[in-house]
Amino acid sequence: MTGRTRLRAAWLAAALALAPALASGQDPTASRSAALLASGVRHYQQLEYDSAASAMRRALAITGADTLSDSARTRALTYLGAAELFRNKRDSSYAVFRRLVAHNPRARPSPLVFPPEVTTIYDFAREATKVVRVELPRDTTIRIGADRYRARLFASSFHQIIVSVEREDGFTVRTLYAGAISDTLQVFWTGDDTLFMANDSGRLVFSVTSLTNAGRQGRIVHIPLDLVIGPQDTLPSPMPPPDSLYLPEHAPAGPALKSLGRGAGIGLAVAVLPRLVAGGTSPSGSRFAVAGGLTIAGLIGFFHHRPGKPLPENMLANSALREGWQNAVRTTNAENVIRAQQKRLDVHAGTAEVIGANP
Amino acid sequence: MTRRLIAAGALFALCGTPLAAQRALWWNAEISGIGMRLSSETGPSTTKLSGASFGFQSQIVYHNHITIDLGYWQGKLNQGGTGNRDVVEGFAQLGARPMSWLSLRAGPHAWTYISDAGTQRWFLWEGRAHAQGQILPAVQSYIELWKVFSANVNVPQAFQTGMGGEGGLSLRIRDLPLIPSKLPARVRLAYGIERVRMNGTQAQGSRAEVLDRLTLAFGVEAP
Repeated sequence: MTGRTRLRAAWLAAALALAPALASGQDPTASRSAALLASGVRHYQQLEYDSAASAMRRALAITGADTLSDSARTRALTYLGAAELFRNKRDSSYAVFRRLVAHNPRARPSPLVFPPEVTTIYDFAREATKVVRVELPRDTTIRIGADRYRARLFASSFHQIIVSVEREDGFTVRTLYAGAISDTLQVFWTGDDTLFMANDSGRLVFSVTSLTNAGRQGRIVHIPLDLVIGPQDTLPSPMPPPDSLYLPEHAPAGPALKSLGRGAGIGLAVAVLPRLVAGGTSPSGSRFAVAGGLTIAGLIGFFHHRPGKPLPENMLANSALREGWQNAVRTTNAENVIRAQQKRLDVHAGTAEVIGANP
Repeated sequence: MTRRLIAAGALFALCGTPLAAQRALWWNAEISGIGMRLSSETGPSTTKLSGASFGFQSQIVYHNHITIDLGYWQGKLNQGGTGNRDVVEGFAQLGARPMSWLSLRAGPHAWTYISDAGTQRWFLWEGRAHAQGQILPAVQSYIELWKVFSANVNVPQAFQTGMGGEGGLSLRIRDLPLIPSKLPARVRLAYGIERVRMNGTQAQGSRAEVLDRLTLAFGVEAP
């Protein structure tokens, strides 16, 4: 077997190995749950609702590392609800849509993809399911007394809620909000309650309770907050401007000496020019007038640029530079005094736990 | 030799200043009066003449580097009341300015003496170096040295050497009547001297022409 023949055999083997995946139209790197979801969507589009529902349920049932992502789960539940409706299983469809609302209160079946029958039953399910999705920053730091910890709440439909910060034993430390929510709501917590914690660290629970239309406790979302209190970081003092930025405040010797050289030096050269150029042959005395003029101009130039002469413009510019730096130092010091009196609260939000009224 | 000097100067000039800092064209023009003293030695005899000439000179600087200098003067020289010579002088020189304070140029410099005895024509090829500096914001000084490379003179003697020098100062003046305020005006005072030596046979004798001059000029320059 020649080298070229071996190469052809290797290409053929690789093509045969990839053929099954290519034939089924699947990405060989996709996860099993994603493949089932894709298969379910394809069945749905081909009006094979039984197969679509089966594939979706199998995709949703997968747990562990291969489980569907949030957006994929939303998509799977939407297609499953629609498929169940077209399988004439209205109750099942309603239940699936309630699961969808509980999973993602903001999800809406697209009216471009799903017919009005589907969106209508979804709307019924949404209206009947009173849930709130809570979004908290996973890890954040606030300055107690200056900043606020922000929680964003997304409701499935209009209902009453109670938002509070509780101890792990259920004791309510602070009620942040009690009232109605229709779509979204922002709730703020100043973090003051942590100052009374026995240690510099501890755990509180961010709790959102959804109430039923009858005013009963329906569904509770608990999110543990791991808290660490520490001193506020202070700002570093601004560095003084480097010397290179300062302009000279007194005239250096260079310009004065240059002026003297250009005046008196050339004056001297003019005086001796006949000797240099013409061997001293009958020079006229007029050269001394020019040489004298040059020397006087050189001396005036020297005194005009005399070394050590104060340069007020440069002094003014340097003063402005120095003052700017001193202002920055003063501002930083004042900020640091405030920061020294403030505490820093590091908040780590844990995984949400949902209690009760599971659709 | 002259060509080499010009080529070297031009190359030096083009490498000097960044293109961004260059102006396309700059010029100055001045009228001047020159008090002249000429000492002409031929063998043991010396002839001394003095007088004045008037004329103009101008410099054009292209892109801060290439210079063209032109000048023309006309006047009279007297020999102690015994005879007059008309004098006509001119030059046209091309040069380079490699640095803001230094320029080099070369070209012909000619003058003619016209007297009852005849017309004497001098045609010299010169190379000049001119250095200038600022003493005060309004006052500049300069010195210029030159050497004669070759000469064509209608005298019996043959050219041997020639060199010269000039130094002076110029003062910028403002708010002059008739002069537009955007054209800076200058007054220049300078002293210069040059000597040309020629060799002849024993019968002809050697010859040396020494010309010293005091120049007072008034000019304007591009802003």
